[in-house]
Amino acid sequence: MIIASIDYFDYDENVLLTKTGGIGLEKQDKQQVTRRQFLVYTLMGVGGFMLSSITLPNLRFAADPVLQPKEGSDLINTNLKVDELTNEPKKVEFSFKQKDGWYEKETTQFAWVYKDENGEIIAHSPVCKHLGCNVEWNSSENHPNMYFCPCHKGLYYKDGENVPNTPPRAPLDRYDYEIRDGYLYLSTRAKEVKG
Amino acid sequence: MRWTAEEAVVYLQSKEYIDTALIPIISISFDQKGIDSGNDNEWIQRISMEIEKQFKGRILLLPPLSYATSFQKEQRKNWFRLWVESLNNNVFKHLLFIGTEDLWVSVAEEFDCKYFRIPSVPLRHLDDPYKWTMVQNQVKKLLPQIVEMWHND
Ligand code: FES
Repeated sequence: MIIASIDYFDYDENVLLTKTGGIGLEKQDKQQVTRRQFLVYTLMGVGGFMLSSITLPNLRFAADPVLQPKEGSDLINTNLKVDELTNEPKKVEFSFKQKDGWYEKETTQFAWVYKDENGEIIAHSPVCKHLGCNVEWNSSENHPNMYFCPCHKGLYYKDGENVPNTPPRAPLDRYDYEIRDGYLYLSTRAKEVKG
Repeated sequence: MRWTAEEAVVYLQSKEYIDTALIPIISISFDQKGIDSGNDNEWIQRISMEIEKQFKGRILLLPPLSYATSFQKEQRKNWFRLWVESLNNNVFKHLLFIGTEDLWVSVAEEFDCKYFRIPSVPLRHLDDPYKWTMVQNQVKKLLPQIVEMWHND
């Protein structure tokens, strides 16, 4: 069988990846200590009509270590000038290609970014700490100036602290940041804030 | 949530919060139409995954349900009914079907389910960032409709 394309669901990054013309894909979970590899893909046959899903555990193709992604998380240019940031959280999208073995994947994610009263930049992950929906800033009329989760009415204050008696049990995660030449760079992974 | 080893566990533990099933409907055919079928499968799955990503905590994205284009009208309806019955059975409060075909509009209506009919878009030869933008544009229209559906609970 000729494999026309492989759709590969990346469960860490929540993205669909497509690889054409290959036969194996590997994904290395950088966060897990066990460095467990797994492989999930959907095969589409010639003409794209045939579809099946196969999971193969522990299948590893030799890859040049030089091409392996570095541990931890890279800083990505958001193309946003730091001058443009205000006290009001702003939705900042950033995409990056990650080299993983011998293919590249494109990932897009976003952050809520603002400057606090000390001029310090805060970049929150939008992922709700309850069950993972995306939160929005100031989207609920009844709860102005808070992050609101539409799924089960979770709330967070501007500094990311979860509002008691709403479903989330922890503050929003934060991205690391750096300023280079006036532009905002964010880390690919957000970190937990210890309450 | 997705129907995977890890997330199925989370789903079962958090069932009371995940009350909405998102169900892609895909047609499969083995003639020339197979090209469209493959295309629409990718298109619908990309959109579904993006919706799931936004609303992970309340939506369970099911593996696509596929039907052969050779199914006759009554067979199609029967197939749909069986699924609606098994999913409705106190499992989900909201069933959200999504696909490109017109023919499910009336069927879904009959069974009182929501069906998002998405216009098909040819994806071949498009590069990934462009596909991504198109998916985003679609999803942007759908998210408020889902929030509204929940709002009317
Ligand atoms: S996922 Fe945000 S409140 Fe439940």
